[in-house]
Amino acid sequence: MSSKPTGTSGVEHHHAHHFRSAGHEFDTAKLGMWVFMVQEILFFSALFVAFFIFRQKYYVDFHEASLELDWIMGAVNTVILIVSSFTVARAISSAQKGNTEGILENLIYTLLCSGGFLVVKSIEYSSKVHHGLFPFEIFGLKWNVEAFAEHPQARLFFILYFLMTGLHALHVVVGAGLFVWLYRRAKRGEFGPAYYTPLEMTGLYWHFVDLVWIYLFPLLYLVG
Amino acid sequence: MEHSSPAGTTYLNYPKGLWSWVVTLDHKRIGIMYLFSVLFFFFVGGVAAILMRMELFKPELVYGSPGQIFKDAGAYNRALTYHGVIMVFLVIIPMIPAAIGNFVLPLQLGAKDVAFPRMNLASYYLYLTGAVLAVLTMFLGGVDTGWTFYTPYSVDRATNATLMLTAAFIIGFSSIFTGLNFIATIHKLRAPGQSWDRLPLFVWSIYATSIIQVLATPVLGLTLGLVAFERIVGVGIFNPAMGGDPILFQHFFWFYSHPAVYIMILPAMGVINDVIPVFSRKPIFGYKAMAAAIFGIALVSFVVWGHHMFVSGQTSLAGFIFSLITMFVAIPTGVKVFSWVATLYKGSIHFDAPMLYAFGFLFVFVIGGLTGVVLATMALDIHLHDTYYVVAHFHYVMVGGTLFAFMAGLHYWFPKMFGKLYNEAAAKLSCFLIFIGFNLTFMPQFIAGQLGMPRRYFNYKPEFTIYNEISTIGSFCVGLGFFMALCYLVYALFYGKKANSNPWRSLTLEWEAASPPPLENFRTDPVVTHGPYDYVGEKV
Amino acid sequence: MKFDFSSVLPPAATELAHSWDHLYWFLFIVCVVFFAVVMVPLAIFIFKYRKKPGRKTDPIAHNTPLEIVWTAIPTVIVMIIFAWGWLVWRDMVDRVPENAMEVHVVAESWAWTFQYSDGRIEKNRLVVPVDTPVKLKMTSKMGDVLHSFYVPNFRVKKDLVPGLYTQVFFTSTKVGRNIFFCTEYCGLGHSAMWGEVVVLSKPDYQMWQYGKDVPLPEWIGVGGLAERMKAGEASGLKEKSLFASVSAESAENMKDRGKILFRKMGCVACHSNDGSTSIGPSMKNLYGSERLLAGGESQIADDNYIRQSIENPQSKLSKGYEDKLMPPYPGHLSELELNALVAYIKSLQ
Repeated sequence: MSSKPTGTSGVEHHHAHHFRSAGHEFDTAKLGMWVFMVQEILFFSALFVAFFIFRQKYYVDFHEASLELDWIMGAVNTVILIVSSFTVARAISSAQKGNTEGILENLIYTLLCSGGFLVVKSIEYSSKVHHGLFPFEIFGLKWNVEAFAEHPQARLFFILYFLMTGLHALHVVVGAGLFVWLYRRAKRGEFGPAYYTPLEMTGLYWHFVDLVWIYLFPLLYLVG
Repeated sequence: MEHSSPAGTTYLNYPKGLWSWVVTLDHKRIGIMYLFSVLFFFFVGGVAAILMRMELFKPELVYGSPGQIFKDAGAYNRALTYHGVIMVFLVIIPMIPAAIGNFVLPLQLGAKDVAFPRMNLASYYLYLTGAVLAVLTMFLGGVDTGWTFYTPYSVDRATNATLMLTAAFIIGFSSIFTGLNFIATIHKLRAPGQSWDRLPLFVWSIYATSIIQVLATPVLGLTLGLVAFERIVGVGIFNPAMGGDPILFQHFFWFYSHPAVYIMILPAMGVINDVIPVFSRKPIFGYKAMAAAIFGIALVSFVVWGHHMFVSGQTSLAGFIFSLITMFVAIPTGVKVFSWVATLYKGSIHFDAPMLYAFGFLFVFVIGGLTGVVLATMALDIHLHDTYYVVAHFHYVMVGGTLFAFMAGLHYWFPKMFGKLYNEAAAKLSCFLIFIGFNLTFMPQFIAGQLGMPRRYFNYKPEFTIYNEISTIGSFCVGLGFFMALCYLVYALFYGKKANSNPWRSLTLEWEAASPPPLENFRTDPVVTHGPYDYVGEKV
Repeated sequence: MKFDFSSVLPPAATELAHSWDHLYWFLFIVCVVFFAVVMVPLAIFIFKYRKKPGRKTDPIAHNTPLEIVWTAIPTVIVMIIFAWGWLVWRDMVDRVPENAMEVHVVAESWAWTFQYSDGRIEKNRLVVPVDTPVKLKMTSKMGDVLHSFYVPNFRVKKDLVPGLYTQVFFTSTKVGRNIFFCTEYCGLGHSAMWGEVVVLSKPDYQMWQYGKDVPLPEWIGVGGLAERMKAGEASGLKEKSLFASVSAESAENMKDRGKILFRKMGCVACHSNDGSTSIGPSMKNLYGSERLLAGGESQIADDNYIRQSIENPQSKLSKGYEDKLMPPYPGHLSELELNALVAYIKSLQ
């Protein structure tokens, strides 16, 4: 997956003038993407740290609260995302082989996976709302105080749960949008062995999104 | 987009037209746009400061009555918030990296542009959007949280803060993208022969700064986002009534904001690193140690944030660790200061404006740095925290350090940016005014602070009057000096003498390009054959 | 060794403050020395190596022994500074004295409430006996914001956080009044939220505990000047200023006493006396006017109205000010003081 683009493809790609070659551009884009990923890790890490601190402070309440989460749904989502990382990798290797059909097919699978992830998430979220476990008082919703009368800090757990999974889901939505954009470019024949940089970059982003979930799932659903 | 410009044109006049500037991908134009924006906001923030100093000229006379300038404490509190927010986020952080770095970095590397020019333009517009939104809040009632947005005040009591927090979030991404861009540029776009040990130290400092920008800013973005979110939905992790922790905000905030001050000072040190060799006609003393010190400072800067919180309610153990590690920042900083002085030894010192600002930098930065050690000493901070001693300390390092270095860099690279020379006598006079005014403004604040005068005070006890009077007079002197600088620099833009490509006879690569450079920077691809400071056996 | 550096440091009113001062002066000397170590060579080099025609530069860029020295010596010095700083911190923060007299402190925007163990409550004023360890257990009201308790003369400071107790302790060795400030920005009343730590001799303190009137001791350091200026004691006590000093007012009668109280008790933070808008209603022309209350009913602002507004403001909220937080002042303004305040407010026509 990390070989440089060579050969020719359907649409000619002109690399930007300040790069020596398409390979040079590819390498630079990759470095930029890795730096961006590091930045994203820091972005999420603040919430992870907050979670650790409050979990240590209110261990019992957090444990009780986490029992409300359906670990099966979480596991299904984990599998969905791992599969989608796999299909993204296949899309990239299709590009390397000049197989446009393969790119399109695998992008569709990836989009289906991200859609599936979001569907499962909405089922989980609406179940929480239904049980009055939505901690924010907006849209006319109220926190169900009786549900955790003896564990008031459970609300803090759910605040963090929604913040962390919500931020992650936002990244999934952005990823889905990127895959749609990539699909349209692939349809126009823009990607091939000589040039598949946007696919590679989005693939890196998507692996990161997957990785964040792989940390979120056990932390929120299992360790509690 | 055209990539080779006609002979005789410069980046200023080719491509032509206002629209070509609006959608430019040229790092030089983007740098100039940042430069003008930063200077504009500097004057806005400066006006706020002058108003504050005028207010503080006299103490409370009839307690509770309207102040000298502001109708009440609320107006003053808003002024101090805007002064802080504008100066920190809109001016000092982007000042050297975005305004000077964007212009100079690719030229110093022998590159045609930064790695991601479109991202660079996006950075600028993110900056501008955030800046406009932040200033817009002034007209919607104003924000009065202070630039530090401490909870619970910023969640429960502040007005219009949500928009300001959003503005800061947006500007944060401008900073992140700039840092990302520079890292990729430095790694991938160096000219042939431009090995790592031939990089100007300005480049090393921009590199370290970019790493900090990329790692620290996201945490601030998330933190301010959480405060905005808590304001909107009413509950969050900083609310003690809900089991949350207001001090957690301080930890998150300072985790960014301490490294942020190194985003401010490292590029400044980078400018000084480049200026001193040129104007003493000598190599910089201890190049490797200088580069290592830059990274040492950057690394340590991430683990000292708690020294802003010695009296906040964190444990003594935490204070112990933060104080100890903070002391370690002093060592590489000291190495740099001693090396700068050592560079002058047996040199041939020229007293052009950039060098005068470098001397001024040394004087005020040493004072700022030493008082930083005082504040890092746990017990001493108890008495000095949140007093004017702290205000004086950070103005000495931020204004004395970053701003003086910026002025040195601006005067040094002015001929390269605009192809013109400014009036040297006017530059020397205004440098002198700024230096004298600056010390008059902030030196008395050390004394007022250690005598007990708290900061962010609209009224103060009359015992502190004399220090405030001197400080206010000094601030007018500084204002006059900067106004003078504005005048002769603008004059030079239009009527200055034409500069040749290397008026300072510097050895770094950007001086091989024309002054000003053409669109593609170098008409023939540069090859680097010597180090950046190889002034050997010069006779002038 | 007890120097009085009152020109650049507040008078030290505790033993630990003296300790602090010693550490401070050590740092000051270190700073001056390092400043000189940098500036003196700088000045010499600037002069000696200034540009001259025909001068050849010597590209010295290394000197390993020198670099080792200027790395090692600062390392040793900052370690000493850190260690000394840690020891003083330990004495000032961690080593709580046994049998310390405990007082509870609650901060709100913008007043301080001191609650003594015998149940007494004082607003904005902490009264303690000399040479006695005192421990303050402090918090900010739930729903309020951060504040910070700072007594410059004691070199003592700590934030007050809602939902948390923080602590400071001190043993004052000087009878007198010591100003304290709020040093964590808290909004409009931040600079108005000062008070005094009154350290009485032990016999006087006992008298105060039994409710007897005790003369207030002199100010130590900052705090006295404003009062003296307004009380008309101009001789020998000029405001330190480059310009002419401000005019003083004398306190001959109840109205003036009320005016002084109006300032001292912090009323001015929220109520103007000249009709200008502030957080609370202006006192000008208040007396005798018809007040529209939050509940809808109206009332004439007579003596009782004013007294009740001071002691229990929530019962007399004016319309339009329902969300303003006037702290109540029950029980620690004497009858005489209340009368003086009413007289003053009456005079604002």
